[in-house]
Amino acid sequence: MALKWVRCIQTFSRHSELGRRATHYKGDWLQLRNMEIKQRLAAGQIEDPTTVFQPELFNSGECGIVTSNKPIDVSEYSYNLPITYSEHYVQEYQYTLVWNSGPLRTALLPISFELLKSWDMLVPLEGFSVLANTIGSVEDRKRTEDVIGDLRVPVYNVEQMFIRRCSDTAQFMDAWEKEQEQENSKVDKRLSFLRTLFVNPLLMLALPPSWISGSHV
Amino acid sequence: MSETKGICYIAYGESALREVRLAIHSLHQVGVELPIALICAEPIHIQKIFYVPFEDHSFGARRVKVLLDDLSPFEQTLYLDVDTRVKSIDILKGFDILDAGWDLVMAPSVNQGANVFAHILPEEKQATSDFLYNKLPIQLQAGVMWFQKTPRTLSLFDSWRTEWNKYKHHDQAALIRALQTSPARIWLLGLDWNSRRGSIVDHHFGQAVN
Repeated sequence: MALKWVRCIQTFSRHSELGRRATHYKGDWLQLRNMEIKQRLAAGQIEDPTTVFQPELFNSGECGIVTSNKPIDVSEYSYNLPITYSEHYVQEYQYTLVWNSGPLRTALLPISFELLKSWDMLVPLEGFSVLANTIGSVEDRKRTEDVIGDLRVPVYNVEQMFIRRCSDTAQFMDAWEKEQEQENSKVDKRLSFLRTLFVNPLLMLALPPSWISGSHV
Repeated sequence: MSETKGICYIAYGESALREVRLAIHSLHQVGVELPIALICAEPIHIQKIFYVPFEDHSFGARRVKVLLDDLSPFEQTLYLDVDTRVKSIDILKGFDILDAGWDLVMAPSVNQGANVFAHILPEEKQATSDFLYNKLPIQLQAGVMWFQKTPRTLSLFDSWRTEWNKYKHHDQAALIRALQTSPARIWLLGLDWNSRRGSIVDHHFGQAVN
């Protein structure tokens, strides 16, 4: 029996088919089988799947993951999404999750790819109080300030980025990679990301830090 | 008026008109010399201020805010709520960000996570949750923002007006709904730029004191 996407309207915990216990928060998406859908509908925990957004894009074959992690637990994380192993961003898919590290909130994947229909890139913030003037070396901060003008800006958590394939993002990723090649390993890539972003403006949607951390903030 | 860059205030009612004098004074104190436009019902006497007369009776003059792209005489505008006090000449750096090609420059609200849209009326809050794909949006604070009149920004303001007109109340949820249909290049700032006791803009959020 096929799995269907549903959206939580209450927070609840359940065991996945792999036996792992997970908490699903209000607004999260997850896949359930018909029997469980009926039970959770009756309990008022999920929306009627016939009325909610169906993530056609997610199943279209245009979405994929580019990761340098080897190996990753595909069964747990991929939802059958194709995965390309690469140290660098490759334009393999129309909609790409570049996943370098950190726990993945899989329930948010369909929404993330859907948002890429209108935005060039989605990246979570590191934290609302984590500013560019609080990270990196003195030299790195100075170099960043010279480019972006002021360091009192939030930084992005570049470990998980959702990218739409287009000329603007290709130019951006190329410029960021070149910038990182020029730097030594001690340079904070969150600052080089800001420098590159400033001079290559994108339709950038900042996501809350909880997109990665799993903390329901 | 054909100035490229300038600052815009909106002031309706005695309290707002009193506040705007203090807000403008704070700008001058830090050395800002850009032209200032004041959108209000009737001109008041403040030196070197350009008046934009406009009738409004909406909640908190929010209708005027979502018309700023039309009412501001500047190509690049810094909009400031009247209960803001500028603390640093660094406020001008926002225009450099626009020059770099960004459409809109603003800071997130201090209210995030479970507190997003806490001030929004229940009916609008529910409708916003139903409408948004992204159920975990970052709430933006539109009391301090720089924008320039690009096609994307004009489209965003158009959507913002459409969304605001549905409930005619606060502007923040309407802005997030508008961004879903009309995305723009937004450079995010930290809270120093727009918060209570912010080092660049001290925003009193309706509790301004002399």
